[in-house]
Parts: sequence; C-alpha cells; structure tokens
Amino acid sequence: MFEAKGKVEIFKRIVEVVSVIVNEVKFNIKDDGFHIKAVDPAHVAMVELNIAPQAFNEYNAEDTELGVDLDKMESIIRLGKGNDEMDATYDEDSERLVIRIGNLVRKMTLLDVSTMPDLKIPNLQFPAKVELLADDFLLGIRAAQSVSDYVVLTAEKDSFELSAGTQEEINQKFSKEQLLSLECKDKSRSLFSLDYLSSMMKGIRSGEKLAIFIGNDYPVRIEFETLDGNASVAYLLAPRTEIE
Amino acid sequence: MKFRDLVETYKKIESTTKRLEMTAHLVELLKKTPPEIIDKVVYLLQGKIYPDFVNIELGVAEKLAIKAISISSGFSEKEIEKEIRETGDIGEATEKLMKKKKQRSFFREELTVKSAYDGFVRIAKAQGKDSQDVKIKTLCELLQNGDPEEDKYIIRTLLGRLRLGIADMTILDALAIAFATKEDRPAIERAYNVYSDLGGIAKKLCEGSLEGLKEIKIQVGVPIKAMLAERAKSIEEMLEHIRDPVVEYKYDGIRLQVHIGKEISLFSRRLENLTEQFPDVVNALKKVFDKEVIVEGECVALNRETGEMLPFQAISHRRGRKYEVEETAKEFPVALFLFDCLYAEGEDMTQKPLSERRKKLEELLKPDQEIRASHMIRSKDKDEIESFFLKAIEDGCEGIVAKASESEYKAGARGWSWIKYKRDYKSEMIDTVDLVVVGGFAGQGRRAGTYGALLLACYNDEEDTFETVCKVGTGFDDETLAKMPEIFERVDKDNNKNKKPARVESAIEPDYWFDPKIVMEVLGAEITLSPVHTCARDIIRKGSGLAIRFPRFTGRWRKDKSAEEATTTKEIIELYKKQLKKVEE
Repeated sequence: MFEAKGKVEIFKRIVEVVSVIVNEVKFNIKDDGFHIKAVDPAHVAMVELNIAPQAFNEYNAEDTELGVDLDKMESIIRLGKGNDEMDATYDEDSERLVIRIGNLVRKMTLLDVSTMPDLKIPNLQFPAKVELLADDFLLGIRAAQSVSDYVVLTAEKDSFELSAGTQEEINQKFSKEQLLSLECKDKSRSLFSLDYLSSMMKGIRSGEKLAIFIGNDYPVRIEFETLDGNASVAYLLAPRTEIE
Repeated sequence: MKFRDLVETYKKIESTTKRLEMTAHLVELLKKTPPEIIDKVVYLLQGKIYPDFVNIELGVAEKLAIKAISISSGFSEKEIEKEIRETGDIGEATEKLMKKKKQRSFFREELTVKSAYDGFVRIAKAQGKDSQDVKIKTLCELLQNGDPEEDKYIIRTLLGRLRLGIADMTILDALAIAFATKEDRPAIERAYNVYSDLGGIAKKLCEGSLEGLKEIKIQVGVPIKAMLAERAKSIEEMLEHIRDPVVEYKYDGIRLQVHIGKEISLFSRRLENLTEQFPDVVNALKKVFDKEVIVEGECVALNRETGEMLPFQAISHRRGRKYEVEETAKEFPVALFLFDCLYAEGEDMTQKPLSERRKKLEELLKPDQEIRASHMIRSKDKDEIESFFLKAIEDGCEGIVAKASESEYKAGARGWSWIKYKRDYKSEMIDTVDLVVVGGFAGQGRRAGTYGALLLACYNDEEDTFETVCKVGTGFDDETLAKMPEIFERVDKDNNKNKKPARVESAIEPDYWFDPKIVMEVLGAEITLSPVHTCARDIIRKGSGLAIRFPRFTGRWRKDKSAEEATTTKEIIELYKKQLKKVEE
C-alpha cells in the first residue's frame, strides 16, 4: 500500500537527483519514507536517496516496491508547476502508479521489480571529510572540464585542492578557513572522471551544503541534504587509476 | 550457463581450420547446454541473435560502441580510435584497453549466456528517440560485467564481426552427433530444409531427441530452403534428362519466397527477409491471395511506361535499401511472376508433383498487373522450346527452366528435375541503328491518347520490304510523346481500313499501322535471335529472325533520311555476326 500527497516540486527533485545516475530504478517504500539505491550501467557511480515522510503533506505506506522509469515519470511531472499539489497512489489491482495533478489523472505502468535486485552500497572508510558550498565545488568542476576529462581531488591537513590538466592546467585550492569544515587524518588524493562528476553536479542545487569524503586512490562520497532537510542524498563514484 | 563457456568454445574454434575439430568443439558445448538456451547458443555461435529471416538487426555502429567502451574503460574516444587503427580490429582493441582500464567500478556480475543474450536483444530492439542512449547503457553494462576477453567477443558480435566461419552444415553435423547419431544426419538436414531455423531445430532435438524432429513441419513465416536447378548446355541435353518438361521463363530478377499468413513475409533465395524493401509487392499480394499460402516466384523490374521487363540491374536498386523505399518503388516498379506453391490452406504441398502444385497456384491466384503466373509451355519439341527460349531472351529474360512435371519440391537441393538453360552466345550492340516506324501501340496510363510503344523495321533493299526488328517504348520525353499522334500518318486516317502497308513484313499486329516514312535512331543492348520479328528471317536460324533487345530511342529523329535510307537487313546481320561472343559466367 502506498499513497503520498505533496508538492510537484518534491517528486521533481527525486527524479532530478536519481536520473543523473540511472533511468530505471526501484523505489523501496516503507512507513518511514522512500529509499532508493541505484547504480549506473557501468557500475561506476551510485546514488542513495532517503526521503522522510515529513517531506510530503500526506504519507501513507506499507512495504512496497515500485519499478519506475524516471524518464516517463519526468514527462508526467512536467505537466504540473512546482507548487501544484500532486498525489501518487499505487493501484495494486492494475499494478500501476496513479498520479493526479489537479484534475489530471495519469496511470503509469511500472517495471518488473523481480529483475531489479537490491543494491548493496559498499561500506567505505574515508580518511578525509570536507564540507563546502555546492557553488564553490561546481565552479572548480566546470573549470576542470575545459582542460581535461578527469580531475584530481586532494585533501591535506589544512587544505582541499581540485586540479586538472597537464599542459593547460586548472587549480582551485581551499584553505581550511575557506571551507565549512575539514577533517583529514592522512593526505588523500584520488582521480575522478569529469563526465561522471559533472553529471552528478546536475543533481545538486545551488546553495546546498556538500560533505565530500575522499581517500587515497579510493572512491568519493558526496553527501547533501535537500527538500528542506527532509531528504538526504549520497553519490558515490569509483576512482580512475593513477597511471596514464 | 556462463558466457565464459561460450567464449572458451569461440577460442577453440578460432584456433583450428579443421572442420572435424570444429565440430568436436561444438558437440562438447552443445552437450552441456541447457535446453532452454540452446537456440540462443546456436545463434550466438554464428554471431547472430535470431535466424537470418527475422527482420531484426543488431544494428550497433562502431561510433556507438566506441562511446560505450570509453565510458566503461575511462579511455577517451580518440585513444580508442587510435588503438583500433593500431590493432586493426575493434575487438582486439577493446580487450587490450579493458585490461588496463582507467576507470574503476564498484562490482562485477559474472555474465551468463542468458544475460549477455538479453543484453544483445535489448540493444537490437531499442527504438525511438532514446534508443542510442539505451544501446550505450546496455553495452556499458555488458562490458562492465564481462572480463576483457569476453568484452572482445561482445563487441565483435554486436558489430557483426564475429566471423568464426561455422557453416550451417557444421552445426547440423554437431547437432546430429550431440543428440542423435551420424545416421540421423540426413533426417536432421531434411527438417532444416523445410524449417530453416537452426536454433529451433537444436531446441527440438535437445528437448525430445529424434522424436522432437518429427514435429517439425512447414510453418508460414519460417522460410523453406529453395529448390535449385542444374544447368544444361543445350536444349537437347535438357530433353535427355526430362522427356516431357514444363518449360518456364527464367526471369532476370530476384527469387522471392512469399509467406502469406497473418502477416506477409518475403524471403530471398538465401532466406534473407526482404519484406520491407518491397512494400508494393506486399500490397499487391494482399489483393491477390486471401488464403494462407507459401508461393514462390521471381520478382522483375518493369519499364514504368511500357511494362516491359528490365534487366537485373534495375531491380538491384530495390534490394538492401533502407531509406526512400517508397520512392524507389515508384521509380523501379516490379512484377512478381509466380511459379510454385509450397503450402496451401494448411497443407504441405512440397511432396506433391509439380503439375498439381502449379494447378493449385493458378486456382488460388487472382492475377493482376503486379502478381502473375510465370510464362510457361508444356512441350517435348526441341524447335518449339527453342522458339520459346528466344522469345524469353527477347522479352528480357535470362533463359528458360525445364521442370519435370511429376517432380516433388526438394527443398535445399539442386537436381536434374529442374534444369536451367541460358544463352551461350550474345551479340552486344555498340552502334546505333536508324529504323523506320511502321506501327504504333495505344498508350495506357500516363501515355493514354498517344502511343505506348512503336513497331520499328529495317529496310530489306533486295526485296524492297520493311522487316520488323523491335518494339520501342523507352527514351521518349513527355514533349515527344505528346507530339507523336501528329508525327505519324496513320493508314486508317481517311476512313481507310487499318491495313498493313504492302511493303511491311510483320508477324506482329500493332494497334495502328503507319506508312513507312519516319526514321528514328535507336540503341539496344544486343541483337538476338527472335521467333517473332521478320528481320533476316531464316537466315541465321530456320524459323527465327533477328531482334534488338532492350531498344531505346536516342532522341534523334533522322529527318535527313528517307525510309529506304534506313539501316538495312544486311547491315543488321553484319552487326549480329561481328559482335557474337560466347557468354562468360
């Protein structure tokens, strides 16, 4: 059983955050909220999204699994404006998701969840954690894209650095004071694909506060909260190898 | 079953050129393949996902593959292109790059035959605006789950470059050894000849052994291997093999096997699906047949204006075409000449004699412009057959086929119950000739109100007669066509009877006779013996004259020439003899 009522904006945000990683996804719906864990087809990037029931105006759910094609969902959401009220109900008889926006009703067929196994998010230990504003990080990523297809993230005791390129170079260094916080046990340095990172950036909004976890030749985990703190998101990205 | 098992077999087969060894490797694999995926394994062994007659292509372009390799490996597209140039093979390049890939991933799920096959199908079936995206993502997933060596074969399969050289016959050998005995090999091949889906055959054998084979029957939609003809060097030789044959035109076109059921499918002699390339034929068939049938015929391109047959070159514009199919269909209209019926209203006709099959065909067919029964005579007379042969050549055919009227349809076999006879010699035409217009045929369709074709003659200066040599309907522009009724003086103009002018020698009766006056320049493909035309009759061969094949008006009226100054019969004979050459094939 599942029924949720809320602003169109909430559903839009869910699609936005997840669709930068993958288009077909399983929603794990429980009484304590929405849970999504997904990986991209090349198994390089992951997303974990948890939304509390408080994000919605009304929320009523028992354990339900819905296989959703996000492209389809997006085309439905586009029919409403951000502040419109939207109602999503799972119709168990027809196995469809019924979406109402105003007097518009759209019944959407779902994907077969039996072919969508639960994803295990790897349990990672990071030696460094950096907190900064999305806007600052986004600027560095954009600049790096103009000179290379990968970026180096380095955390030291009192700085965090983003650099890219060999001939044409980009470097963006944050001192500890320029960051919201910095914890670093050991110097940590890893390389990441800019294609992937820049896609992830599309799921992050200006003004959001990012917590970036890095290690040495190790994946990166980017955490942030959204929907007025009612949703938490984590992106994971596997590194590129050092040797060229 | 793991995809790895299949890859191991690929490798073993690549390392040998001996058919027996190849077969042994196949047997080993087939024996351990579970029945529910054995059809898929058989397709994959040949680098396919469906039998050829199914109209779905894997359809992955190299560029798309490079994109997916780039995402999965972390190498840039430029680096991948460079590696392909250096290794000369995208499969090798993939393996090499995936071995030292720059992009790490979180996990790998080992590929099974089923998961790989499902991925291929997903890629093949992706359609619409997101199809490129779906293809790239699915391929990324396959590459990620495969190891570098598996990736090599994945890429080769998707690009249609898995060329292990495993022939259908080798797979049949392996199936016989794996699921029956060598002695059963002919029975298996027989089943395959009427049901040309190797995967389906494998499944039946694997599930029910030989009993399963017996269930295999002709099925509308699954092509039957074509029966083929032996070749004779002469009509005498033909008659030595078949005393009282049915003789048909051997058209210069594409052989089509037509399956009419819920849907209509067209298959080539090699069992490729040509349905989408001939929408006009499919539409015409809908009108002509209302029962479930499998019929066979030859599809020939026709001159749009005159309805005359055109050489193979013309229909070849239609084959293999993916774009502008409708436009090309209008430019090169075709007719289908049916000559056999293999299945009708639930009944397998292949075991029945040809005479009965032909009767059934004519019974079910309501012929129209586009779908007709093939030209045919029944004769044991050499001269009569020879005249029929010459007429076939003149009409634009390759030759004739003699068939034993009691013979069965032997799917996939070449035998002496069908014998083809083509020309040994032909006389190519290099120069133009100037011919006199002696008659006209009423035009139809776009040519209504004017002439559709003209009857042309050369001048016999010994007899002072005009002898017909061809009918020409090609090479006229619209302006010329519109003026034609004024150009020619019809014999019946002053209430006289439409009577052949005295000096014209003709066995053909045109709609209108003209006084021999106007001379036009004509170029043809060749000069050929003709049972119809009167030019040089009885001179080269008793009972035959000479004719110009595929004649075309050059656009030049020879107003400077009188009818008596036209090309003479003697000159035509000279032209014929000078260029007469053995046909090389």
